Amino acid sequence: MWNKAWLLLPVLFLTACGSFRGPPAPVESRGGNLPVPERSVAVPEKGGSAQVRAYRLPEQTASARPQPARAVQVLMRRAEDQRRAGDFPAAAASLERGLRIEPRNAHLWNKLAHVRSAQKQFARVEQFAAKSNALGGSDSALRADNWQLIAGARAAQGDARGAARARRQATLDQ
Amino acid sequence: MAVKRSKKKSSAKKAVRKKSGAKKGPLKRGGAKVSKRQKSSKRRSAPGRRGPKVAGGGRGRLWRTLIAGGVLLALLLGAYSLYLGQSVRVAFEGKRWAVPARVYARPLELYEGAPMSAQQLAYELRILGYRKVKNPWQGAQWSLQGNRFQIRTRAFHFWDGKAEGRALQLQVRDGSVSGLRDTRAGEALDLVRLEPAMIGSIYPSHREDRVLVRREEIPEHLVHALLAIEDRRFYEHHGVDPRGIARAMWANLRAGGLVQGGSTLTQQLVKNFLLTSERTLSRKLNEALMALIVDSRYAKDEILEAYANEIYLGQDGARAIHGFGLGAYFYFDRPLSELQVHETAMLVGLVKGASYYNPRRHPQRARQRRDLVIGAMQAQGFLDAETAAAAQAHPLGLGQRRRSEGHRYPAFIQLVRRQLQRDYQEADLTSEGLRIFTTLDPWDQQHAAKGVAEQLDRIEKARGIPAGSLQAAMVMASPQEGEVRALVGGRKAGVSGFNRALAASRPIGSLVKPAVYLSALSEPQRYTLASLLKDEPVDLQLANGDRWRPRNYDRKAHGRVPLHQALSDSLNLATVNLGMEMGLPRVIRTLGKLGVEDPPQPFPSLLLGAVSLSPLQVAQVYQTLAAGGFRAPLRAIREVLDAHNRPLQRYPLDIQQAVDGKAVFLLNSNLQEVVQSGTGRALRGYLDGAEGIAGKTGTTNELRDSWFAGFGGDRVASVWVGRDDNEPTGLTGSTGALPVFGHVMQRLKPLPMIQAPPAGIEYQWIEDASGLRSAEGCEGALALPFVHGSAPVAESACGKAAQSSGLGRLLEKMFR
Repeated sequence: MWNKAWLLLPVLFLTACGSFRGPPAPVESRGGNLPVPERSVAVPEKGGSAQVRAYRLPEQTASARPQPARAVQVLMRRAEDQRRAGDFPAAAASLERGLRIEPRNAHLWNKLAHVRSAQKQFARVEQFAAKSNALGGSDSALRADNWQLIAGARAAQGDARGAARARRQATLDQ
Repeated sequence: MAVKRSKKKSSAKKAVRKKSGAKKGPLKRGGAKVSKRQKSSKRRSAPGRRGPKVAGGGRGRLWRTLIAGGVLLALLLGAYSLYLGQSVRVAFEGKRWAVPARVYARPLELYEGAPMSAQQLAYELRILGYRKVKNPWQGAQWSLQGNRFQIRTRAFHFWDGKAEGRALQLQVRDGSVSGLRDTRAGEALDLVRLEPAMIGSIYPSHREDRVLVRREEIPEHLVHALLAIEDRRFYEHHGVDPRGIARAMWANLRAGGLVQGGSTLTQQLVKNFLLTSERTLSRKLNEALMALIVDSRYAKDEILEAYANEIYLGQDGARAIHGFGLGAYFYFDRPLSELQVHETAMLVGLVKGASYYNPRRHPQRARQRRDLVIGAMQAQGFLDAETAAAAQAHPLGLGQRRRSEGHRYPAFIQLVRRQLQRDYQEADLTSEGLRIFTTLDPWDQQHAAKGVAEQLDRIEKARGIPAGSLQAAMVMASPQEGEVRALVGGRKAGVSGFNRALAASRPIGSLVKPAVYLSALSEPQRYTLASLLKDEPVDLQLANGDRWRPRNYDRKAHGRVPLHQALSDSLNLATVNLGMEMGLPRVIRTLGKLGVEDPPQPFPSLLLGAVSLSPLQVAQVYQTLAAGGFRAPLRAIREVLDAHNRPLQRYPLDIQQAVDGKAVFLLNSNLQEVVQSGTGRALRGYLDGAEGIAGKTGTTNELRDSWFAGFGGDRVASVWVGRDDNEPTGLTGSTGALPVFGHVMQRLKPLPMIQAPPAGIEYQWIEDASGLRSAEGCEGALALPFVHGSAPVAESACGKAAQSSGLGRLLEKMFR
């Protein structure tokens, strides 16, 4: 079913909107995620002829794993080395530096959650993992890892039921 | 008694004094060592004691009197020098190391693809004090050929380690960085950061400022200049130089006036340190006595170092420039170690009279004095004739006159201080030489400050508003991490004064509405963007018996309107009806989650913005929206290091999921509509269509406050425009604050916001007027996002017809 939808998407774009610019961006195929072509809405009562576009999906539907800048890759590797060496503050600093370059990189948030987990800052772990999930789109491995982190953080904070819920989510996402 | 007190102090200060020695723990509250300076300017008379009763007669009596007198004198002298010695110690071990905290901007990150313009990079290099030259060959120089930058960086100690100086090469093309290399190492670089600009210092109240230098950091030619002109026999004498005094007296006699002073460097230091400026013989004697004590207790190089850090070299408004370290920055925009002979000679020339020889005010005098110093250096054999002539041929070469350090970003520094004061004591901030790394983006800050000033001028002119009557404030932050990038506290950003961004708490008007609509959209089974609201007259009885009859801005009631349009057009009646239907506590709770710390009173007028917030607090609320519901407490500081570059405190990234991401997604889509076709549509004129920008206007009663808050992909900002006396301005949010926001953003070219729909969002065609399910191509159909399962089921006529057609069914199948 979804394979068919994929094939149809470009056609739909072309037929639906003459004003579509550029080739259709890759769209994550996920349930309930209908890509909507841009739509012209006339607003005659407000100063005349302005044709405005509202409620249009961004052309670049954020893919879960946008190609990170090389700089960010370097920082991620550095952070990984620092984490392995047990220098968690340095690892966190490297990851935060990466986030200033790519604040929407779900993997950076995930790695920061790992570092905070190693530092036993469990409240932060939950938040960073949740942020990673919010930005992670449909990267199911990443989501599962984030839910595992959340489960671990909840368990460490004495929330056994919450941990179980998160663990279930982790398996669902796998 | 006085001695006792000093003793305690000096031992407390010892920990601070030694630069290389181990310093005691972090300077947190509680364990702090207060190093308030003690000025022992008041000379106390020696402890009074009556001489022994003199008895007897004749010679014996005389002798006895003499002996007794001698003993007494010796006692007094001994006690007095003990006291002086104590004062010397206090001065040496406390005062001379009081260094204000240094505040740095964020460092600029350079990497392949970093957004950058040649203009910005040139600006960033300029504020670092780097010099543009043809061929950079030493640190702090750069060149630009075509679009290729060559930059020689300085070594710099970051919070995560020291970065050595590099020879960078890079291109700035099509708005981004490429071809980044280190030409000396001959390698491509993935990532490098420039040193951050120093944006200010935190002084004690008497505003003495200095950049501490160690003896080994003082260039030899500076020492030579000092010896040559001030104290030739510094390394030979014992603090006082009788030969020097004799020579000076002789010179003065010959000239018939005061042309030469006989004070040694040690005496000058003592004078600066300890004594008042009265010119009496007893002071002179005191000075000499203390100079002898100082010389006996401290090594020559220690004295020299203290002298180099203490000497007064000029005045910058209320700030006193002390020491050669700061003098180098103040006059030449460079660290002392980078100065050349003619430059240090000028600094040394200032010792004799910093205001008389002020090179900015009296360049002629300063130059003559400098050349005199160079001449003396040559005469003493420190320079050969050729070098001396070359040095004298140089122009003064002053750095650009910069506005006073602490005055460039006073509003932002105030925010830094406020956040620091939670963790540090005032005395530590002003004396411990802390290094504070902040989030300030100088490029953004500059544009924000300029934008505020220019737009207020323009608005006043265009609307016949008395010039200078408007005021404004602006706060700009990074959406995901909540780092404050810029903060403007008034239209004269360089002048410290009332900081409106932090302190002006004003009713926010319609800026509150997103909280009302977010409350609604958080209940998807009850409210969607397509829900029809009643934009109908409101008549409420308030608790105090008053009646409240708010009106729409256009004074009309629009009947039933879709929820998204009610927000987009900022309809008051629809909003009040919606808010009353949900109940005020819900809206107050939402405001709390978004970051409003003090819950407002539950009055219905709250729904129209009868809640007072500062621009900083507004920025916090909109940051939470911009980050998809993750609140990041706004921060101005990243790291604090002590004077030896050891980390004292991190201010790490922190976030809190405050509101459901799906509801925020719906709201943000709606806030984009505000900018595309609603009350914020004027923004399109500034931002080339303003796609990917979300925002909201706010206006308060009788047009007293004009607000705009909004965000794109990499910046969230709030702007307030109004008057300090709270009189009406005649400006709405869209005519006052919006142009400021638009103008600033236009220059900064923010990235569009990327709103990836979170899981659980679906789009559906809706007939706008009826709120019924429709289909593509139907009249008045709009594709709106819904939380999964919340889209209306009932279909419009056109929707039904389309549904029965083949395409409709296929669509239905595919996307349900």
